[in-house]
Amino acid sequence: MTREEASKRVLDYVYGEMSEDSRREFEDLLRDDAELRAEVESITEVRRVTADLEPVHLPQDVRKALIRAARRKIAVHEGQELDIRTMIERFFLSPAFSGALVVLVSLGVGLHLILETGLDDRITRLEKNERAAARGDVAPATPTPKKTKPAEEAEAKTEATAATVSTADLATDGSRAQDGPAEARAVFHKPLAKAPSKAGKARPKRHRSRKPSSYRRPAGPVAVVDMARQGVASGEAGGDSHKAPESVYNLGIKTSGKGGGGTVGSGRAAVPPAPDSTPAVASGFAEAPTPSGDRRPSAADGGLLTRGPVSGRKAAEHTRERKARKLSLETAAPPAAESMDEDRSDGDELRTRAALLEARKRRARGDLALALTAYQRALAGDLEGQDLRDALYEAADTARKLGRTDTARQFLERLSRLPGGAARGAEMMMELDAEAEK
Amino acid sequence: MFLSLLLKRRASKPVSIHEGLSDEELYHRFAQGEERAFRLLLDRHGDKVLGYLTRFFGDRELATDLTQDVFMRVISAARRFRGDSSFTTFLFRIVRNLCVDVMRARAARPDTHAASLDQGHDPDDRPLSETVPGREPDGEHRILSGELSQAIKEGLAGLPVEQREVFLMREVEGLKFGQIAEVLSVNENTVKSRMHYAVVSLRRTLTAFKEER
Repeated sequence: MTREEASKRVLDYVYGEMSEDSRREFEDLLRDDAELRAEVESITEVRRVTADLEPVHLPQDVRKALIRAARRKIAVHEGQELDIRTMIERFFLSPAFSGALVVLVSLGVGLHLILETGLDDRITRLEKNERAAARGDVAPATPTPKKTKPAEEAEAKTEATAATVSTADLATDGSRAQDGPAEARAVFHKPLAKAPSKAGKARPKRHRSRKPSSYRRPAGPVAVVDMARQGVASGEAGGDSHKAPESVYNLGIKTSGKGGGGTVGSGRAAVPPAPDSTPAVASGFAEAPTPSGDRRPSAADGGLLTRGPVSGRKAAEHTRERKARKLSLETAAPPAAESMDEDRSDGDELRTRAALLEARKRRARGDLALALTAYQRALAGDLEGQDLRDALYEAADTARKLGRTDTARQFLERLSRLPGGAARGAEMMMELDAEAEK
Repeated sequence: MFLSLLLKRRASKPVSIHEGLSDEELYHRFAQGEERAFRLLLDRHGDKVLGYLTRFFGDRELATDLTQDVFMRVISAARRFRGDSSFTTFLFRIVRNLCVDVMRARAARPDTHAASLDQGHDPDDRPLSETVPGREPDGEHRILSGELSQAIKEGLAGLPVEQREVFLMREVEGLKFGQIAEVLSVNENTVKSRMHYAVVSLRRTLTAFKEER
């Protein structure tokens, strides 16, 4: 390090910003150079004098004010965070939210358990009903109203007759009964579920409007189930209780009154058909007028339904069966805590579904006779829409296979009166006609 | 998920702050919401800033007010501090900017002879002691051997602004020449040059004081 360089670096030396090597070199020079040493000493003296100036301290009030300001700033920052993320965190971590969550979960689990238990009960009842129906008994879930004495007599006589009764027979007898003494009135085991459907009109909703027991279907061919519902078939049969038409299974209809009309509750009846009972059949299905006066479609109209192969039909039946089972479970209402009427209607609906299910099962198995009775029992219930059309078609098909063409025609007639059912029924009616000609 | 968020949040809030933390770490922690970090920064730099401003302006009240302003700016800028420079450099930039503002405000007033940072680098420029009001001593001289203290203060006040700020930054705050250059945005050699002239000027003041004695 030269003297000139050293004089430039005096400040670095005094303020300690010189490297160790440079410092050593500088000190070597310093020992020999008095002028340089004087300069260093003068700077050091200035530093010493300056450092000896009175130390200055920040006043406490200023310090506190600054700390307060800093605290406020922190609070503002935390407040800004609260708006976005922290608020959400604090909400989810709050005891109120946790409590509410626990309560909701508990309620949900409890409700689920209750519903599950109720559903199990319903399924159990449904199975019992099916078993009872298979045996031909009245469903145990339905309380049976007290019967009148004449009705019991009529029922006893009816039970003594044949095993089954055809729908046509019942209709026939119902037609007759209309002409009989009018004192006996049918008392329905439950209120009527619905009015007979007409083309182009929407059916009333289930359980909403039930027709009174005095409701009567307009003149014309009437299916036995409807007749039985109206109480005409049996209730007004007067003394001919042995001819009292009866729903094959468990329509829950009971007659009352002076005439001692027949009871249609359980049991079986076989009544000879009246020749004039089915004008539509006698004159030919295609020519029979519909309730709305329209001509029924015929094969010539090209309105026949094209049915698929047998396997496809079986698949469709299987699907329907599954749907019916599902629907029967879905429509299962909570059990007997409610009033008697609600219980009755629920039970009837369940029985209807169970009967349809059973009918399809038996039909698939080939038990056609039992299937037919199950269909009749189902059709006495609250079926509607596509279910009703399918049930009628299947029942007609079953009856046809059993050789009971009259019963089949009755079903087809009823089907033809339903919206969208005419074309479907016409096809089978044509087949029936062809078989009859043979 | 909520539990982890809670734990994360609580874990991010250490309670203790060690004295050994650097200024930058303390300032960062203050930005995250630790009040104590700011207290430590205030303890470390509050007196120095006040001393610098007191010696720069020669006015204790003004220096106190300005010190408050400086730290208010430090508080406000906490979240904007990126750590590109040291905290000391950052702090003294604020101090210098405030000084410049005060000097310009004084220069704008016609009734005062305000000093200006635009006075140039020439050591022969008119000294600040002749232009800046409020440079009168406020009683500190009674402690530092009376008249010598007064002579030093007058000598400091008589330095050009550039020399004075360099000298005070080096002597009072202890900034290195490189940091001073960074604060002032000038070359380090320029800083040393200004420092040299400041020391020479003060030495002259001292010599004159001794000669008078």
